[in-house]
Amino acid sequence: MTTTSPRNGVRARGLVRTYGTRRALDGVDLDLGPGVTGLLGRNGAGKTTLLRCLATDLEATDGELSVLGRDPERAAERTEIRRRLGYLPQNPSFYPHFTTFGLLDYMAVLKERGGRRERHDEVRRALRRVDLYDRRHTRLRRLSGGMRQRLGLAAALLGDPHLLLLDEPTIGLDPEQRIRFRDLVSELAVHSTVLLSTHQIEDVAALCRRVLVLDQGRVIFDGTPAALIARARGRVWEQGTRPPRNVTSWRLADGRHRVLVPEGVHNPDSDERVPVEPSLEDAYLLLTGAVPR
Amino acid sequence: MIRDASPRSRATFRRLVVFNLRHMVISPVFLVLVPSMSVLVWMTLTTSGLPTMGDLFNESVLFAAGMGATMFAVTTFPALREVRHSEPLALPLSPGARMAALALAAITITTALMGAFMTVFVLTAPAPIAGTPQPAAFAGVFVIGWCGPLGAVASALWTRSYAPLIALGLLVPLYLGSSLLAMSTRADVIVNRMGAVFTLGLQPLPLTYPDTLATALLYLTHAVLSVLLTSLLILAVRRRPRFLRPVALGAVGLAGFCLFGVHTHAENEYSYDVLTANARPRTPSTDTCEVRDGLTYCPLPGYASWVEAWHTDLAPVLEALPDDVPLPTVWQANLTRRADVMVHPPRDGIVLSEHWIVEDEHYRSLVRSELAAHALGLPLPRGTEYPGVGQARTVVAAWLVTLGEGLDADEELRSAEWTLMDHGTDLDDLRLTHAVLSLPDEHVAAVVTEHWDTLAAPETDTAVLAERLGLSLEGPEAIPAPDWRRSLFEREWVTDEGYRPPWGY
Repeated sequence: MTTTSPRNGVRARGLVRTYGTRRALDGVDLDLGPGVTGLLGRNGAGKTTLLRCLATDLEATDGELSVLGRDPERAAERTEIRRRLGYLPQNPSFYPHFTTFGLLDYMAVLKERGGRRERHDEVRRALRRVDLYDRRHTRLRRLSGGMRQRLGLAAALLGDPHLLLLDEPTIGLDPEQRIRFRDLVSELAVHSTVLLSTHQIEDVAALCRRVLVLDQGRVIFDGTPAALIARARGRVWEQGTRPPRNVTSWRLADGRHRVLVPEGVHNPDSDERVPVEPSLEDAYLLLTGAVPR
Repeated sequence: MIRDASPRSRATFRRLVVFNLRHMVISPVFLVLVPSMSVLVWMTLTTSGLPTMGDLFNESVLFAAGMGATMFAVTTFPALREVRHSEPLALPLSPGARMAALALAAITITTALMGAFMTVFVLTAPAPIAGTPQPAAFAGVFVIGWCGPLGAVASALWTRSYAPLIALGLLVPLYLGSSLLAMSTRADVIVNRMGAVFTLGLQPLPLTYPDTLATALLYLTHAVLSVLLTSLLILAVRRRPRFLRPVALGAVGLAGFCLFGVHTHAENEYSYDVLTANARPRTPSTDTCEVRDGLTYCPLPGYASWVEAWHTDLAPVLEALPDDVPLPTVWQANLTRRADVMVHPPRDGIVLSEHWIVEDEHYRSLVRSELAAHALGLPLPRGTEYPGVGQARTVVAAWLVTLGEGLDADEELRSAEWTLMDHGTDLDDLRLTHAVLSLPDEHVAAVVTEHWDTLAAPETDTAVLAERLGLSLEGPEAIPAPDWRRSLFEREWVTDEGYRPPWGY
């Protein structure tokens, strides 16, 4: 591991992680710095594996990795990384007998957040940030899925981490909470590096200055959302007739079809065909070749 | 455990210990089970007016077992929190250190509870705890209590489920229930064997109380080895680092071998047979003895309070004896350490077992009876046949036995009749004894003191005593027949020639 990253960033070169014979990560190169980076990809593309490697929860099989300027393979440096890390795993399973306050207090102890009074102040602040302060005495088993997700986010935010890794953080959040979440993450991203793995493309569009798209363990796109959208320009249409089967399309509410035409595929001319400005979702679907029919 | 042992990590470890302590103490499982278990153990305490170190040790072992089981239940929940819910969170403190913090917190609570139990036992004891304290033995009891929380950590790491706790929760009521249901049935044997296994787990060595430094250290070694074995098993079941498993398994084998060695050594050195074979006669020169009102007591070390309590009961008997009567020496015996007086009973001595409870009138009258027998020269009844039938001294002995502290009329009669049973009796002896008990003690005492030499002689018969007391065994003024409804005797036992009571003394 000779590569080094900035003190608040991540650098990976040729990162490989295998499960048996399957390569979940297949030579990932990555440089992350302050700001929010969106991580997109289909199920099984390797997003969670990448996040777990960056979170030091999983060792890479091969390649070079530096997180916050430290080598995660060395125990002492790994501990230092964890001290500066906020990690929200996918579907976090918290101990159901804790109260929300108890869980965050426990996490704060483990994140080395000072003495009792100082720690409790921070826990109260974190609960207010995710709008759960009124539920501070509620046991976790009585919380809804969305509330648990917010609590997981609060746990990840404890200690103002330099690196925040969020795996599907907005699942189960209502629109109001999602807006609040975006606001919170934007605020943090001023000084911290945030990697947001999600299937919610609108979150990426709203938050991220940079997008990474993973497919079969490889980074197939690394750039700004605008650059990704630009790649789709001229290949998104709306038309009244159903397009050929080898073209990605779906039926809209008004009965028309939105059509995404990959490079090299012919979409027959039609009188009612209208070119439209692609969205980030269109661009992502064109890139990954997903066919939502 | 704390790989990065920086001051920061140590501080976090300490905070986590405190966090776990607080959360366990306020957990519903703790708040329900600990008071329940404490009450249960307290209800089963064998209370004695003269509690001994052996009592404290045995009750502490019982409490350690109960509290160990309770803390097993209390610790299982946070242990599963660690193994099931906290591992993937990528936190600075390693999972091993987190588990160690939990184990330390649980051990601290267990230690505090057991310390509180022992303190309350000592403070509420009606007399100073008799015997020599052996700190190593009590340290061993603490270690036994720690097996509960450590077992919870081990089982959580091993099974990652509540199954062991559920099994324990089912097993205890099942055992208690089956104990009741199996009474007087063949299944009783199985239940007894289960109980024996349980007892063996708690007190595996053939020592009712390790009351010497050597036996206490042996006990402590056994307890430490047991905990070490549990801890090594925890390491062995952990998957990481891989090299640790074979090392831990090897150490488990070694600890198991040592444990076996301790058992074998204890069996060889401290079994009942070995103790009795090695018994040495005791003399006043080998012991620290104390003389009270002319009676010499040779208690075991630390049993000063015992002398006072027993002397309180014997003092009225001594007071009724003439000054020049030769008195025996009272020896205290303890089977585990001093089989000596049991194997080599002294000629002019009374042997008091450590287990004889001073509040129990049966034991008290036994001791008074032996004192009276010694004073009157009555041969010890064991192995002899009716040496005192028809003799005045037998009735005098029966009366002396009734002079104990705070006896009611029924207890007096019972004590007197037990003495008659020991030395043999006929109808006249029994009638006279009943009559003597109805006379004022001062009158009887005056007659006995005045005519001691005559009455203590083996050839003086019962009629002489009756006459000296102003009673008559025959004629119109004759003493009436005994009140058979109050008597332990039945008519034919004392009227039929050649009759021998069923207990066959």
